[in-house]
Amino acid sequence: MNIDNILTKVTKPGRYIGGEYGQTLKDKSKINARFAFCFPDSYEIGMSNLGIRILYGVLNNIEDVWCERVYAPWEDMEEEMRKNNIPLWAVESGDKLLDFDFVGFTLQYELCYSNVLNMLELAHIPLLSKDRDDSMPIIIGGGPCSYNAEPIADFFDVFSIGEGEEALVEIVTLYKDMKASGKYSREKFLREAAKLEGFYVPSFYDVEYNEDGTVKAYTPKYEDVPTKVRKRIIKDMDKAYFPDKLVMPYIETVHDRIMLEVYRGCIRGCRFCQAGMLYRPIREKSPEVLNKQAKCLFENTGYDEIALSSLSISDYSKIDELTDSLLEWTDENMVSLSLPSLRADSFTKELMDKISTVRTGGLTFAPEAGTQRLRDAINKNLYEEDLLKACDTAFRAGKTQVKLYFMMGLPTEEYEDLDGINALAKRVVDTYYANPDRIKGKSPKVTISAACFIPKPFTAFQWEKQEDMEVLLEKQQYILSTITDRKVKFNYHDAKVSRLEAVFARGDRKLCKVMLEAHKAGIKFDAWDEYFDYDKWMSVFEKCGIDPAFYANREFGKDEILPWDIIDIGVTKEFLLRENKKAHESKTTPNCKEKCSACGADCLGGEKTWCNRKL
Amino acid sequence: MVQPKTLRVKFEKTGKLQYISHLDLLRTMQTALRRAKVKMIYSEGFNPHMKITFALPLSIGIESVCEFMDIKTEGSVQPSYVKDNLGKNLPADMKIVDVYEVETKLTEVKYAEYMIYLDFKEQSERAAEIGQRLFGDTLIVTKRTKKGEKEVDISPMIKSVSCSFEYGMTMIKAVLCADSENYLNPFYLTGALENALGSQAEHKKVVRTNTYFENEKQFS
Repeated sequence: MNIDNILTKVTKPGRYIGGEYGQTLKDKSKINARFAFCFPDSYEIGMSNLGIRILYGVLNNIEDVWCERVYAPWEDMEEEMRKNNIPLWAVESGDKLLDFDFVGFTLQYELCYSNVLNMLELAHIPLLSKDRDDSMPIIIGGGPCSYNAEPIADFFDVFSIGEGEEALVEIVTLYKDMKASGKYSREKFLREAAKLEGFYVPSFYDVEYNEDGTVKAYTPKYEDVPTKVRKRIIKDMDKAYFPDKLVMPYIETVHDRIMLEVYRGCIRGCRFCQAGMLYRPIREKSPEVLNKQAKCLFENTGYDEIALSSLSISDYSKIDELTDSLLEWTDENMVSLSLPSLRADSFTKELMDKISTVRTGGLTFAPEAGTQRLRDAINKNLYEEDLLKACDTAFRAGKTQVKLYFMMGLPTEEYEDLDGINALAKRVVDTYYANPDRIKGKSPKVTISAACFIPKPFTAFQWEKQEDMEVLLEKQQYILSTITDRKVKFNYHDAKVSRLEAVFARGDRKLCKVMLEAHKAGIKFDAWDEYFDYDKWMSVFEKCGIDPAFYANREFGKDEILPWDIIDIGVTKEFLLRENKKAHESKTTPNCKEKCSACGADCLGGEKTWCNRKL
Repeated sequence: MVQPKTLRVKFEKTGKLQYISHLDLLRTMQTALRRAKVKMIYSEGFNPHMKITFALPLSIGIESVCEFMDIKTEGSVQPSYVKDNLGKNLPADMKIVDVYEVETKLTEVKYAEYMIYLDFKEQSERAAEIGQRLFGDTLIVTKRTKKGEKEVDISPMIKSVSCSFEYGMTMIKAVLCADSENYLNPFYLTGALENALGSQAEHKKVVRTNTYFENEKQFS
């Protein structure tokens, strides 16, 4: 396929050429299964994803398996591809996706669904699972959205639920064995795959609905298909695969650095947070393993920054040991450390000195709500004095800018809570001026960023409604009106985007036809402001006779069968119900370190975890 | 301690690498130098960076077998070490030609030579004839600048040029001004020819093949 003439016509051609240092090339004649790993968004975002970096390495570690990368082409490239009838190809070999055995999509956010459909079409692969024959690749999905992938269930053959390091190897091995024995057919393969732990084949379930549109039942079509699919986890993170090299992008990507995964899971249990539940139980890596992995990656990539990645880095039980051992070699090699997920109550002078040894950056904290009452209701477990102390530490060290993340439209929220947002920002400003050693003549800048609350499956708030858009817009304007200090800047998310996200987050299979219709209407790149078209989406919903409010703005019944009840994440519904009740009473729940609250995730096992104090 | 020194790296940037911009090239070199464990000198300040300078810009879509980069290293770094180890750490379409201690400045580059192959299919021979006439005279092109478009005669910036029909394609060999005040992008020549012919080349290959001092000796 000759794309040379096209490459000079499109923006950032470096996205499409492959050949990056660190990519894996293999001899096709010795390969028994080819896997095209697709990221349904631009190259810059996809190349930054840690999950793909890991699974790319896991699959390519198998001698007769070749995993390649695919990204959503930008619009100018798509136009050229359609004009010249060039099907979507994989970056490494340049081969079209139809030549592959598996086409996998990582589903990181709901707003990428439209790109999945567009990429299938660009690959000349029939969109619907039922329209694909034995010669076609198996379309597999994974990542956080696969925990409720019902809105795109008709387009996928199978979903991998949970952590993929071991599961993907199993399903690819199953495929190779069936191909080798001559017993392969799509149907037979998927039947066998459904028996593996952590694989959900949506076409093997009949879904019935009640008259009011809620789910009546999910019934397996065959006896050997499980009634509930339990997520997979890696039990011992020290023994889990972690890449020893990375594909080095030519062009600048979103996270152009080493991401060192320190642990999985989270001890906190914020009631709005999906990741905090999905990745339970917490499993830590040991500092020795992490230091070795970081050193190895530094030597093989040449990156000058290491981000210690996890849901809340300061909760890592051996954070000092880890940072100390890293600093032994990072400083002299001009490598800087960054801690992207720092809680305000753990921010100390000592920690800050460690992270700003080479480079300095801004500071970001996430109080999430403006009053203690609401912070308790969402179980943020953060106190105002902790936040102010953290800001004071930062200001004393010469920083002048702080970013504060909030959520608005949270369950139980009152206008008083919104007043609290600006009040808190003002107290941060006051903290700056209370510092006698501040640089005279320099003023602080406090940026408030407010996202709209989105109820997500597998959270304590999964039954809650998202506030109507008019109310959200009104509340945004209200917060804006409370801000009078020019040192405080207010940013807010587009409520329309958040609403669509809410629809698909809690969607069921009836939304598949909406997705298909949206695709026909040319909808794509919803995560990009310049492409997102709310009115177009609304006309698609109308055309399909589906009310988005049913999913986004309806309080789900506590006894209702939820579309994602088919998936078992370890954390029980009973726990989530208890948490929901406590939220409405503004009562907090201690974190896993302090006390086990019996969420249920310990049934999955795990090493170096707080569950049963196995740390 | 031995004084820091400047090493000149001559390298090729061909094939897929022609689609990589100047800034991306810099990033690629920085990580490659770190992987190669070349002891670099860093700038002072909050955001220290390696001291790297490139000789000439190279537009996207142009290959080159004669790119130059100066790097400032610790005094103990040997050119042969850089040649061996940096080469191993580069993407496939980049090759180190030579590494040596410098005596000249990168700004002493005055001219660059290009070999250009244009495939106009059955019109290639006619294009070569048109090219011969076109490039022998004043050559007015529309240059896009920050202030807008303006008409410029680029012939004073063409040191030498020949246009011929070879292997079924139109071939242009040109030596063009390439210093910071007078830099002529070879795409002005191909564009002028396409305009005169009234059709676009189906395929284009442009390679920078040499660079020269003011006195027309090969730059090194």
